[in-house]
Amino acid sequence: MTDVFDALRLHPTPATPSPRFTAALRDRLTTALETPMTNTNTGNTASNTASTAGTRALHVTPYLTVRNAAAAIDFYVAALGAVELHRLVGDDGRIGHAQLQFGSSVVMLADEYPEFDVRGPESLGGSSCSFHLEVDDVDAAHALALTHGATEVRPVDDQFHGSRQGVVRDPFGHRWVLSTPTPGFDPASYGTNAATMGFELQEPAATALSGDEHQVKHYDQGDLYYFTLPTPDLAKAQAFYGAVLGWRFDDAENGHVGNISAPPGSAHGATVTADLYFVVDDIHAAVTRVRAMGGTADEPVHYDSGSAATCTDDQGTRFHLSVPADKYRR
Amino acid sequence: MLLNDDPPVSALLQLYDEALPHVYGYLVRRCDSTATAEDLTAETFLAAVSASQTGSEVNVPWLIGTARHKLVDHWRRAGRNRQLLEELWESGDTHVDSNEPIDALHVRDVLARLLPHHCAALTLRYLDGLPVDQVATLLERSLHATESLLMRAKAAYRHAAGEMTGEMTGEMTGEMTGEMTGEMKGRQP
Repeated sequence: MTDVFDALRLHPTPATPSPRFTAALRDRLTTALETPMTNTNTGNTASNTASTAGTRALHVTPYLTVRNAAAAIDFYVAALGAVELHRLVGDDGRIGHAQLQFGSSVVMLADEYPEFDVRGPESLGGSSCSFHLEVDDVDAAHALALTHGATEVRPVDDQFHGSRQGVVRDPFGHRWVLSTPTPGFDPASYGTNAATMGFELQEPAATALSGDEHQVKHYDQGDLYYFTLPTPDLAKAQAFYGAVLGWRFDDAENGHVGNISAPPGSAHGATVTADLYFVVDDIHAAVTRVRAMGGTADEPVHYDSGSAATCTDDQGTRFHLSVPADKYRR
Repeated sequence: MLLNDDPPVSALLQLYDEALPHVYGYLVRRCDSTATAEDLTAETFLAAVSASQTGSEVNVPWLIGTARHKLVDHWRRAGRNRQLLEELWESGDTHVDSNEPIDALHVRDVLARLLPHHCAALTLRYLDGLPVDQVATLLERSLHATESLLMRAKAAYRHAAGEMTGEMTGEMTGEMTGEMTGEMKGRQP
């Protein structure tokens, strides 16, 4: 016997959701794949770390475990000024993963998952690490945290190292150092102040800041390493950018900007366009690639800051390849 | 926790890229709104993340099966608030199925007018083409209860389709009919 309702039969027909939904769900899945709830194959963590080290910039994100993550998120938002980015709530009610934004930093957190040996300070009977939170007004931030139920560990006071700080323990057992730079503190007194406290300042030779505050960074191929701005009158440029952006210049001769981190650059009289220097792993191989692709490349030149080769792309746009000197990278 | 280079992770995101149109395509033609289809699509793939981490093989048939379960859960949630209405609706029910052809053109709009459990039964039995015993399993009802549910659902469908046709052709002003037809055309997959 036929059933007229068989006419309703739908045959599989793919349909494409909106690009926005597609991208958002992909992000959620990527995040879900990082949660402690779903991450059960931790056996090969070491090899993962090793294989990622060469391909992406090093970056550490704190991942907190708390008993009652929902209450903790409320606390961090109300008491410490965090902004909740998202949370993944499991079908058992636990939060498997959440991300909070503190200023420019992201902090991840999750509920306890004892079945995966993920436990918070309340279960472990303490916490081994502290979170250093830079705030505009440490006195106000400290008072606000206490109002919301944090416990005072150390009252706010000026510290020898150049910050005014207070320390609190949040209701979930994590320790927070709230900190504001002391106005007018001379960085040069860091070492001498430490000495009065019985500590000797020691720095590894490779990463010690030299007098001109060169920044030592991790670079990957393709990163912007250096720039120059065309400024026919260097003295005027130094006055202008010093006032506008706070740039300090190491060397009146070459206009190198010494106090910015990524990337360093200079105002320069020699060129008529802005110049961009991109990092490559092997400058000779890169020069060969440029030429093979129809661009032009000068022979690499060695500078104190590393090797560089001036190139034009196949449409005539000028750019530079560079290999940062070892003293500027790690 | 960065596992982006881990083979299972890459495999799952690769599956996502390939399978998304199939899963979304399945759901969007069976849901009353795009938003619901998106929610259930997300639930399906998040379940796939968990499954892949516990070693289960996740592929398109697995995803469609999971999407079907998510759909049943959705109707169940929608129906929970309408339990009383359901009892009232069905207390005097004496419909008998006929062999008159049915309106398959506006199926999604007609289904959207039905009670969730009627929508569920018809979708699983006819849109998906599942045998009655599988429908019964999915809806957690006995075979007999599912058969009578299907009878009532089919009657409800005819009733709603007839009502809708009436609205679209006769009872409204020309302008409003135009609007409504346009809206429905827009909602066709």
